[in-house]
Amino acid sequence: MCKNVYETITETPENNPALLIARVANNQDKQAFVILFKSYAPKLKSWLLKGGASPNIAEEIIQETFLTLWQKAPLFNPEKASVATWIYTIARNKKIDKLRQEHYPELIVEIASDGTHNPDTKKDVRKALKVLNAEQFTVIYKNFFEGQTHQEIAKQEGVALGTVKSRARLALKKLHAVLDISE
Amino acid sequence: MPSFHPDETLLIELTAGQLDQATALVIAAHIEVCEECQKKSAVYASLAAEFLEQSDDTPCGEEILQALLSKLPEQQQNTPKIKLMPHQEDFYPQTLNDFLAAFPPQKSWQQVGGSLRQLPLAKGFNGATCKIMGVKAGHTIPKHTHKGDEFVLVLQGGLSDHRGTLRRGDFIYSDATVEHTPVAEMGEECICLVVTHGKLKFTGAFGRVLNWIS
Ligand SMILES: [Zn+2]
Repeated sequence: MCKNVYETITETPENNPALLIARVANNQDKQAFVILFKSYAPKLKSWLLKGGASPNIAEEIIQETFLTLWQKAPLFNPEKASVATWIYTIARNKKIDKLRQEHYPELIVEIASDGTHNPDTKKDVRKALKVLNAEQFTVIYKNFFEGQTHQEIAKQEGVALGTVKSRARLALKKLHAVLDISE
Repeated sequence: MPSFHPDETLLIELTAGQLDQATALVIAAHIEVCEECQKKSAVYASLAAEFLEQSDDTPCGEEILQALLSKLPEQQQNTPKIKLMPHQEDFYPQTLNDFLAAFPPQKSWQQVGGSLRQLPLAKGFNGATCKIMGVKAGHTIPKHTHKGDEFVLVLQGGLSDHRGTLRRGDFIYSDATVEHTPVAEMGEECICLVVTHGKLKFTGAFGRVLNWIS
């Protein structure tokens, strides 16, 4: 029997994720690492199980993700990505490595410096998602988060592939309009 | 700034982890040199991250955390600048050089006819194959169609067909409906990163010979 360590963590300046990463990087702060683990590991596990990983494999992927997080914390640049984005991409690549034995490239982002990646993007993304109707949201959610292809979504939702594609197109159009990026 | 880009679907599939490694490599290498696609990809990645943050929690065993804490590795202070390994080039996007470091090519450059040379890289789980291709300056690739999708990213020099001239960073997609006769620009060898799903089919008279050797 082990005690449940997943008590609710309230957002305070002390556990702002970017500061936690900085503490891991600057002081090899294990306490900060534990807080990050407790906030993100259970979410990663849900995501991995949805994506078809077994509980054991999911936990292996989570371990590898957090080893990389520790190792690469000094390289994390909060101006280029949010902590959640960084963790998502590390975990996605570990998952592909584990489940498909394929090597997924790390995106190298050196050019953009106009604030596209600043923390406000998160707020904007939330705002943008609100303009989608339920059907459009479902397609975007399953496509981005569950990693499903349009074909798979069509089958699940019991609609034609063309319908899924047009829902996705409309959803992206709306998202682009709110987020102000050209198509 | 590149003027030919992968379409949105490919950027999304990259973010969502749906691409095979060969296709992922060529898209990621384009993104590295394209500000426009970097911005889009950043938005797509933050969508995925937002869904992750809003996700339900599934508890992980405490022993996982304990195991992690007992084997934390040394931290990486900076990306080491090492000298180029065989097959790496300083003008290649770092994405490609990283790939070459992780997976050194099993074969060496192969000459294909008088105008082309190629270095086979990885295969994807769906049968896609990736290679670096060189076309001699001013030379023509005989007229051909494609059995499946083909993605080309220009890394050096230029390559023209009826759709325009591609230069460093430009990405173009051809499917079975495209028949073309690409010509390398004068000046320097045109080097591209190419991903094919299915073989090229040369259609011209001379091209038939190439079907045998490519
Ligand atoms: Zn682009």
